[in-house]
Amino acid sequence: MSEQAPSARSRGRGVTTGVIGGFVSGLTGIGGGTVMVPLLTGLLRVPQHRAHATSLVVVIFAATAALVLYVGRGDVDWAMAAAVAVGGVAGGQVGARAMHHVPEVRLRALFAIFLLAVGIRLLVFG
Amino acid sequence: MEEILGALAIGVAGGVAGGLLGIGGGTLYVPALVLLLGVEQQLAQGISLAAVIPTAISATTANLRRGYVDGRLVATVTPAALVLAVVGARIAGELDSDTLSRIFGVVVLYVGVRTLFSLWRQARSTRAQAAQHASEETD
Repeated sequence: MSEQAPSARSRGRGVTTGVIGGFVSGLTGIGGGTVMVPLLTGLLRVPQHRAHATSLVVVIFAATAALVLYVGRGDVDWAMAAAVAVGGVAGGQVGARAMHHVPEVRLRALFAIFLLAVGIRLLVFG
Repeated sequence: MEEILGALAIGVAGGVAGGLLGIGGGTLYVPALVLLLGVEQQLAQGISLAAVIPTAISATTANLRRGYVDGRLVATVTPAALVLAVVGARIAGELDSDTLSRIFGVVVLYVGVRTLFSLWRQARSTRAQAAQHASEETD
């Protein structure tokens, strides 16, 4: 994928991924990765590890853009956000390093199970 | 104080999942803040977004060292994601978010089931091939 110039079709699919991922991110406050990872692996045939790493970078930008609006509305508790962030930075290092050691198929299965859990959660609690 | 410790624990759990699964952790942060700490939904989403940014940066520093980040793909996906994130955030308070969440839940469940099914089929065909090779070798 990164070795040759992307075709018009894969560019279009990349933009589609951004459109859906960004929209869900802003709407639900989840950062968009839950949607972007399956779009990257399914639509763009990106290998699992690469999809996870690439999704995270897009998440940084999409979350920043959405955050600006939440700050404008006063919908951020900074003390609590700082506490979550401190844990998140430490956990993020552990999670990323763990990912490097998980084989492709197992990582894919883990992600699928995560999707099932999220889907059930959303269906039950809204 | 208890609230801050709870938020810290949610951060660690969401951060590990976020780094491992490439999602940034918000999928865990929002429900955990609402259900465990009783934070109101809109506020939880704002806190989550603020915390997702450093979480994703942290995981990305580890991923960059391994060369897993596809820079060209980031450049293709990001502009559209930026614009639509703003659109989504703008209408977040105005739409019937409960119905939307349930619709989104169905889609996510479908993708999860489909992925597991394709993995199962892949494993089955790999096993069948291995069995075939084994029988050819004994012939």
